[in-house]
Amino acid sequence: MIRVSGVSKSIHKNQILKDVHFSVKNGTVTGLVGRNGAGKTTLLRMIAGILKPTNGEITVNDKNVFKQPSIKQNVVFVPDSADALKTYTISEIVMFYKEIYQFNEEYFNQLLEKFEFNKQGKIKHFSKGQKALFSLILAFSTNAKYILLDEPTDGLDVIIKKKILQFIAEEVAEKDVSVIISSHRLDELEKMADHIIVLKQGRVDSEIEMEELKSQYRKIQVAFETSLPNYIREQSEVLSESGRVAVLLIDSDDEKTDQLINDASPILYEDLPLTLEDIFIAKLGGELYVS
Amino acid sequence: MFPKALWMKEWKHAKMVCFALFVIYLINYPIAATFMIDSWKYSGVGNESFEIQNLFSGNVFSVFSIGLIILLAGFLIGIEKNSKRHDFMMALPFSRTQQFLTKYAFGFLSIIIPYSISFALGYFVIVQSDFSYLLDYLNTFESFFTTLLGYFVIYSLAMLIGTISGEIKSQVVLTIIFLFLPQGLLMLLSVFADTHGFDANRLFELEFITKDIFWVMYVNTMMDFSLMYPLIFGILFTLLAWFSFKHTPSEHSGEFLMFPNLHPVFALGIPICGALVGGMFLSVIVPYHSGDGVKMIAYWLGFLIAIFFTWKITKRLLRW
Repeated sequence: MIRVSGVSKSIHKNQILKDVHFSVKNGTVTGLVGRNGAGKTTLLRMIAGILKPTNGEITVNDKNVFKQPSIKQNVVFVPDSADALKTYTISEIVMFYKEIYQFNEEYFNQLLEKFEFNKQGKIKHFSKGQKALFSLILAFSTNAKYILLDEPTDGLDVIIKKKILQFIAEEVAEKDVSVIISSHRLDELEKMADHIIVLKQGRVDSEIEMEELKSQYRKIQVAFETSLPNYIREQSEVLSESGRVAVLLIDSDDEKTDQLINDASPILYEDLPLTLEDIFIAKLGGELYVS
Repeated sequence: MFPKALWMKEWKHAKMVCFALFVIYLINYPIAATFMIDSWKYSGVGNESFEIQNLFSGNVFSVFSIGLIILLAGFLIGIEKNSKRHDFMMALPFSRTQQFLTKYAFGFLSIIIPYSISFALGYFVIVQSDFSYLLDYLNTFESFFTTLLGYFVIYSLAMLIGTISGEIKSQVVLTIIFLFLPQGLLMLLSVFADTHGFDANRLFELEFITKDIFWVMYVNTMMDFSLMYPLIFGILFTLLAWFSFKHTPSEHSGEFLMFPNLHPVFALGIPICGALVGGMFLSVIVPYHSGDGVKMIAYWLGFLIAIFFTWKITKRLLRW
């Protein structure tokens, strides 16, 4: 388990993170969301043992990553660019990783073949998308228990983005690995994350269990002969409104509002699939979502 | 556990400098010895003692090798800080002590092995020649160790500067500055004293500065040096570098300095040194017959102009 306890970090007298607490259980996917500058990358760099916290402690399997760095054999950090690897050839990086991690070369080669990688030449000759995918293949081939992904799909086209997200989902499903993904794209995270940590101005604004979350709310589309009655508006969160049609978010167990809607004889009343973005817009004013 | 992966990483990044260093030492000793023998055959040997000592003493290639040693330290420490390599390295499951000691040992062996082989080959070339008798005039131990300790202290200083500077350019520039700082300051102060009518000659009697810690001079084995100074300072620089590397705050990598605590020292030191240089340059262009008053005015004009610009530069360097 990764445990972040009371971690704060100041850089150039700016407090980037303030008293951050959370833990990551084994075999889960944790989404770290927040706007640019919220402290996501700083937090991941601290978990990876790159930056020392100003206050607080970070442990992996109860071992402090700074005092017992060998525990980082179980932690692989994948930054948002593969620049650090660019001078290596694939065979060089494999040799290097075999010395550090319990690297599964056979599996690595299978993945390279699956994604049709050219095994010759240096990594710098790969396209941006290939570099991102290659970094992930490398990370998941290490057999590390914790993979930290910093904006893994940032700046990539939709096709490679889809490939990458699918690859991460498959790896997590097949292996007993925990993944922390930092992103400002809620739509990407909700498909695979079990647990969401929202960072806002350096603090953990909220923690959400995805399974609980979706059972807590309902997203409904309603339309009335006239406009949305004010007494219904007051009882729910209005996600959008266009003419006589409104999209509302209500608590799943809110029978009273449900009854009020039914009593108002709507000409349309249907449930819509709930997204993480809906909840953030409704509950947090949408400030965290940056497309 | 032997950190083989770290050795592989250092080799990957610094091998070109290591090869260059080997080539320089080969030119400096066995190849130079071969050419020297040819020269002695045709022109004869002049002063035997001087000729053989000169062969094993410093020359332009020793200066190149010092440049390469500074560059090697830059490739071991500074270059990683300019890029994502720093994060990559720090995220590896090795302690900072392991990382530093690997870097240090790799660099040190990259100097001592080619130097020793080349020195021995040069010696062997002379032994095999008709001029082997010249070796009686050579103190082999002193010739070998004076230069080696000179390289050791320069390398250790470069590594120390590498741990406090935030990227390779500042590491290389600061290493060169600090290599000559005591002597440079002495010269600047002597010009200052001279311009203001004081006797500056006594400053140059400070042999500790003009000789004992004038590290680049140690490649000249014909001078009579105490080997204790480079040994003690080399060890001191190494220990400081180790301490500094262990406590480096990674968030400042890529900046001019890794330690914000050092900013006031540099904010004061750079403009003052710059101002002294500015004063010196402007005072020396004043014609000799112009008189002391004009010289002093020119000095202070140069001082003020230089302090203004170096302060601006320092602010930019330190991102103030």
